[in-house]
Amino acid sequence: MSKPLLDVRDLSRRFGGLKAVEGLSLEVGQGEIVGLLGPNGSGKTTALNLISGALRPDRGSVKLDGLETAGAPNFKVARLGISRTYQLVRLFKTMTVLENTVAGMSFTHAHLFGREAIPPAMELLDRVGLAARASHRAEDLTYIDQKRLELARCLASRPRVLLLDEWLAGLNPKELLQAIELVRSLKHEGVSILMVEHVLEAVRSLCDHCVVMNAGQRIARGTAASVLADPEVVRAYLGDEDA
Amino acid sequence: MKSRSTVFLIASLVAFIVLAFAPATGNDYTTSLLINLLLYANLATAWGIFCGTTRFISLATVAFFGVGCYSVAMLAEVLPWPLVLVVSALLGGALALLIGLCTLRLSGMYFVVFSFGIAELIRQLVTWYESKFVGSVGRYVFLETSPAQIYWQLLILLALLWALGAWLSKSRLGFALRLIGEDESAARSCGINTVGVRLAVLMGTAMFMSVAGAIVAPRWTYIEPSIAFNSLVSFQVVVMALLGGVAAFYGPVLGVVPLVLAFEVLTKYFPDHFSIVLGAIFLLIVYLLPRGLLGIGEKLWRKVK
Repeated sequence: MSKPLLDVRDLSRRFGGLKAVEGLSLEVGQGEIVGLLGPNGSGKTTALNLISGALRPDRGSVKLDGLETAGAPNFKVARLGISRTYQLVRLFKTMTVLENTVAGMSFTHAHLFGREAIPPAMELLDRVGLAARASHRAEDLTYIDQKRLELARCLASRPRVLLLDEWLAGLNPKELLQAIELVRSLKHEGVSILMVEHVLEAVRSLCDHCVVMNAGQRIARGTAASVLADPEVVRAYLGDEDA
Repeated sequence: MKSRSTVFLIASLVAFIVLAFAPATGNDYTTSLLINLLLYANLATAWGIFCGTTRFISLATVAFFGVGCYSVAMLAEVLPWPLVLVVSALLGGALALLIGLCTLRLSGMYFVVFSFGIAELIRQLVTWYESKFVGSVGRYVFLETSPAQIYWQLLILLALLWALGAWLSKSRLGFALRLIGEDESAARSCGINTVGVRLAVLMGTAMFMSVAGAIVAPRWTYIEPSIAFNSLVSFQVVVMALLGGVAAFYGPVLGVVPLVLAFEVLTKYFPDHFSIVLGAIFLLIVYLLPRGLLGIGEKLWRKVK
C-alpha cells in the first residue's frame, strides 16, 4: 500500500478526567472514503476537531501528505487543505449564498476574491444545486440546502481531505440518494473523505473502509460489512445483553 | 454597481472639500460645534469599523481617546507636534494590542464588560500615577493652536478613516472581518487567521481614536483623568454608531450629526438630566431602529425600487 494522504497516529485528547479520544489511529488514502463510526459520545466529533485543528491534541500526530499538522491552528490546517463541515451547520447567516461560497476560496489556495471569484463560485453552486439561490441569504435556505451550501464552501477551498460530520443526517430518501451521488462524484475527482456517519446505507455504499470508535478508542477497522458484523461493535452500539 | 460607488466617492470628496471651508465662513461657536461633530464622527466611524462588523461591542473608546489626550499633556512641550501625534497613535495601538490579547477568548457580554472595565482601570491608574508621582491630578496644556487648526486636523483624520473604511468594504481584509462577525469558528475553518485580523483592525481603529484625542486635547487647556477618560464618551459613541447603523462604514456618521446636535441642546437646557435622556435615547434606538438610520434608508430604497 502506498503512503496514506491523511495519516493519524495515536491521537489523544482529554477533557479533565474524560478521555474523549485515546490513542486513535487511522489512515485515509488518496481518493478514499473512510467512515468514522461509533455510538453517541464515542469521540468522533472530537476526533474531527483534533484533525481540523479546532482542538489541540494532547498527544499524537496528524500528517497530511507527510506534513505534520497536529497542534497547528484551525486556519492553517484549512489552508493546507483539510476542510470540514459541521454537525450543526455553520454558515455566515446574513450573507448571501454566493458570498458564503466565495468565503471558502478567498483565504485558501488562490485567494480568489471579488469579481474573479464569482464564476468558480457559481460553478460550485450549480454543482450542489444552489445556483438559482445565489443571491438569497444563507439563513433563508432550507436545512438541506444549508448543508449543501456548507459543502460548497468546503469544496471552494479545493480541499485534499474533506471531513464530513454527519453530513447525510436528516435527509429524506430521495435527498439521501442525491447526496450519496454527490459524495461519490467527489471521490472520483480525487478528494479524500473522512466521514462521521450514522446513516448505514450511505456508509455501506460509499466507504472503502471504516473505523469504529467507542469511548474514545478505536475498537474495529475494516470494510463496512465486516465492522458492522463485528461482535464488539454490536456490543458498543446495543449493550451486552443483545450481543 | 461601479457607477454607484464612483458617485459615492465623488460625493464624499466634495463634502470634505466643502467642509474644509467651514471655519472661514462661520463664527467661533459654529467652529466649536463642528469640532465636536468631527470628533464624534471620527470616534464613531472608527468604532463602527471594528465593532460594527465583528459585533464586538467595545466600551473602551475613551481609553484610546484618553491615551491620546495624555500623550499631548505629557509630551507636547518636549516633542514637535507631528511626533506627538505619532506617539499617541503608537500608544493607542499598543493599548489595543494589550486589550485584544486579553480578550481573545471573550465575546458578547464579557467583551463589553471587559472593555468598560479596562477603560476605568486606566483612568484609575493615571489618577494614581499623577497624584503619587507628579503631585497633582490635573495638567495644563498650553499649545498655540487655533480652533480652525484643530478642525482641519480632525477633518484630515476623518478623510483618512473614510478612505480606510471604503478600502475595507472592498478588500479581502474587510470581507474577513464580516465573516468573523457572522461566525468566528466557521471563519477560522475557511482559512482566516481570525486572531490576527481582529487584532490588526482593533489596533488600527484604536490608533485613530487616540490621534483624535490628541488633536482635541489643546482645546481644554486643563485636563484631568475624569475629563480625558470620561466613560460617557464611550457610551455616546455606541449610541451614535447604532443610531446611524453599522452595516456600512459610513453609517455611524448619520447618527453622529443628530445626536451631537441633540446633546448640545440637552447640555444647555437639561444639564442635570443628561444621562437619563441619553439612556432613554439608547433604549428607543435599540427598540425602534435595530439597524439604525441606515436600515431605514435601505428599506425605503427597496420600496422605491
